[in-house]
Amino acid sequence: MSVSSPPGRNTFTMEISERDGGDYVTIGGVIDENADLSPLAALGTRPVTVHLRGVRRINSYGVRTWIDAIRKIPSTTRLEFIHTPPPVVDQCNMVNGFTGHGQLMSFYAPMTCTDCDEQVDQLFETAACKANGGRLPVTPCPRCGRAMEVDDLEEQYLLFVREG
Amino acid sequence: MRGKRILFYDPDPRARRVAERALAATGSEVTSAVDTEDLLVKVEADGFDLMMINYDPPLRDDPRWAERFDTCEQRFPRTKLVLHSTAPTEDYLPLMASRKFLRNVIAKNDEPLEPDELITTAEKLLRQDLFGLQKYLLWGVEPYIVKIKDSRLKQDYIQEVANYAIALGCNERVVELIETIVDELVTNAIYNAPRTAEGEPKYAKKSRREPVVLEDHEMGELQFACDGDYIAIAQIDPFGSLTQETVVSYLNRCLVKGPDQLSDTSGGAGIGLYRVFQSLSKFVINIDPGRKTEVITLIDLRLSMKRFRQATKSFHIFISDPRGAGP
Repeated sequence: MSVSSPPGRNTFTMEISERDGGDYVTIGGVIDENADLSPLAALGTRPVTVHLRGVRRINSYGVRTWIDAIRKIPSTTRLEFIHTPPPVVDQCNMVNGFTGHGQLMSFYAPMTCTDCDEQVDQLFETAACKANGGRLPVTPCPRCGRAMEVDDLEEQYLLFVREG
Repeated sequence: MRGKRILFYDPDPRARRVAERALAATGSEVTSAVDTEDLLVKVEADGFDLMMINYDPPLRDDPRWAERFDTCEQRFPRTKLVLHSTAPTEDYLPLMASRKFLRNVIAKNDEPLEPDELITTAEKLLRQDLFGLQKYLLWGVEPYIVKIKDSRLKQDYIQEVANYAIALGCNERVVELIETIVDELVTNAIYNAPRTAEGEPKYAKKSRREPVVLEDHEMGELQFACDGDYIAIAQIDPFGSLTQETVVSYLNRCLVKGPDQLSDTSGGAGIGLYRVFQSLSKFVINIDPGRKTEVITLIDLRLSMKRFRQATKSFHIFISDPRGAGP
């Protein structure tokens, strides 16, 4: 087959660095039985920020290991998830305890323009949605400027905003 | 199928017209019921090979109808029952645990009913010709086939189907749905389906991190194809060990967000089947007990993600009838 997705996008990656006195974790690829999440579980009491933009998918076994790892982070540790992509948002909405004691601070929503059919994953702050009555703020289409819609059931997609 | 009699009930006259046309085209004799009183008279008269009945309220909420359908199999052994519903999955799945007759549920979305699905469902039951992905796709579509043998090759299996979807022009979110389905189906074929000679699960307790290489007689198969409207992915295993009870209980445990969602008792997480169900438009499970299982998943490519999430899902469990198609 002539068209294929780069296999590298599926490879699980995790990098932990120090930033602003806390641990900054960047995760990418597929979280499945091959993903080693033990470094996440070993984090201590410094604030933890988890950048999830690169996560493509989580399988059922990955969900379990993820929850096990998140539960091991001390409950007194400030834990924040940022740049959360749609596949992870789906898990947050579907699976009990997916974010543990952490807060989902920002996330992507799949936006679509009903006029010109432009599709983009737009970054939103959870706090901005809460301030907007649990709805996404108005997003102008980058191509035609008209208001875009989320290509999902908004109420269902933003369940974590209401629950958080 | 010629010589067979079908009873169809839907309060919507448009749905009845579509169904009468579609089902009559199979050569069967079709009788319609216009309301529940009419339906009751016709059901009790017996004589039908297949009953296709709307299962929205008031029927769904009436315990007398639940009892009637429950005893149908004993009272009218040759009659198969198919229900159709506009209800979302969350409404009818919990009912499936206690109402075993809820085995075939056809989704009724905006359009009255899909004639293709009515015909396919009716013919499968009447002919007892259950297996085959092609039954759900346009004529002429040939599926790609991949043998499932080694858990360490799972990513290759997934990639093969994903590449096919990308070549079809599927967007990132649809590709992710497809990858989710293949991931869980392959895991199922390798770890959950195989049985020992005594019929006990062979690898189910193993951690999914422990590699498994299936023996030749244990190998499963992945099939995938597309007809432009639907992409279909099927997993076949030579064991036939899946049961209606297992499917329904696994799906129901995950329906409600709570502490019991994840399983600690098996080597997996126990949410694989639910994740598959959440990723598809139609779910078809064909079981020849002890011999073969085929899990078919179909995604409607015509829908936006929003419509996909809103749409009711069809759900079918076909179990081989040892009596065959009958006269």
